[in-house]
Amino acid sequence: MTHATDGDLLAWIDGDLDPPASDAVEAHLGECPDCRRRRTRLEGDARQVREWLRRADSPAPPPEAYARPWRAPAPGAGRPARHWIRAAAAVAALALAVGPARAWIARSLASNPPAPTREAPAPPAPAPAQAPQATTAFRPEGARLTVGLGADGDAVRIRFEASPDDRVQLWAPWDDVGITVRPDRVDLSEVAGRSGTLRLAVPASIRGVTVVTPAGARRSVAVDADELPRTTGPGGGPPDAGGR
Amino acid sequence: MDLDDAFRRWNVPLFRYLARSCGDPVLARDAVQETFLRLHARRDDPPRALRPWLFTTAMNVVRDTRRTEAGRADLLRRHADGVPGPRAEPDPDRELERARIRARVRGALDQLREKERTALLMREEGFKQREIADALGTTTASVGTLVARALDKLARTLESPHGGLP
Repeated sequence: MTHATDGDLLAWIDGDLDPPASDAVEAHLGECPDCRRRRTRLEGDARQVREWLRRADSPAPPPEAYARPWRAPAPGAGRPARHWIRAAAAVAALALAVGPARAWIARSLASNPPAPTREAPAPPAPAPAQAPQATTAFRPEGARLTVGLGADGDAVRIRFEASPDDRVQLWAPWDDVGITVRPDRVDLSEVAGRSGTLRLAVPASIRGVTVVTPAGARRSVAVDADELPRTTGPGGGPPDAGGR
Repeated sequence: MDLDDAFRRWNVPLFRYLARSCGDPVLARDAVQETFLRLHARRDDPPRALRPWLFTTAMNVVRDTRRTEAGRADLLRRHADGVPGPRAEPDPDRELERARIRARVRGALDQLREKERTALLMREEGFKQREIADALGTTTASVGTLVARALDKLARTLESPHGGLP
């Protein structure tokens, strides 16, 4: 045969040739010092590059860093936690996606770290909407959540009880509402007159999510299309279903 | 299709491939998340060839995200050096050395043409030349040439004393 191509040699090295082609390359290598040199160089380059890539690899996130809505709920999942708001609970990084195309806007809060956690608990920050407010709290257990909003709410606050490494992803169906991201929450303003569905993907490590809307605003909260067990805070009646 | 099994098997290789390809581990993690959510959404109509579907979809997510981010640069504040997490290296000297290596390898990868980089990184994940050719819309012979050229460029760049540094 004529000289082996680089592709032939790489395929031979990778065991990616059918037996006749592999035999032909092997026979040629036995009699062609030029191709043997090229094979040696390719193998050396591949080894060296693989080692560099391995040394430069970022550590892979643990499975808990991902929302896995296909998993069966863990025992006790869905039980409302007693305390949803803890001072300085932090979401270190929050990815937002807005707009009809669901394009992603990534936003890291790593450069704006949360306050120390050992101080006395700070009172929960007021929601942006006028009192009275209705709250819905739930334990997400790693899931895809949806929050349906009616047209009568003008502000929404979503609080997270999370560790500094957690990331939450939020999809909003509008690209022109006010979105403010804080270490422990995200506020949406200027949503009056709109209805739609917010979707959140939260990792299993997030301990709680609280949705705050003006009392009476129509809303629903669900995990992957299933209604969640939840608690309803003072001032708010049971959240309405529908309103999407 | 067992989604949890697919996730366990492929989330790490997919993250590694994306992080190497785009150089942004935060974006890579987001893309892995979005890819598996899309797979979940079509659980009643699963792709016939799962691995190529996962890698192609994830790379499309990365491209789409970057296009969007280009117009929203004011909202971007990326964590510069890896995904924060429990496995973060606490030793500052080792972390500095790792950051230096990352910058060097990133610089070398960025010097490759996109097809060279994709062919090389797909080979690293064990894809056959035929699969790489399908993903790139080219021939298997071209894949061999692309990979060989990428290996040669990377090896030369990384061998040199200042190779790969931006």
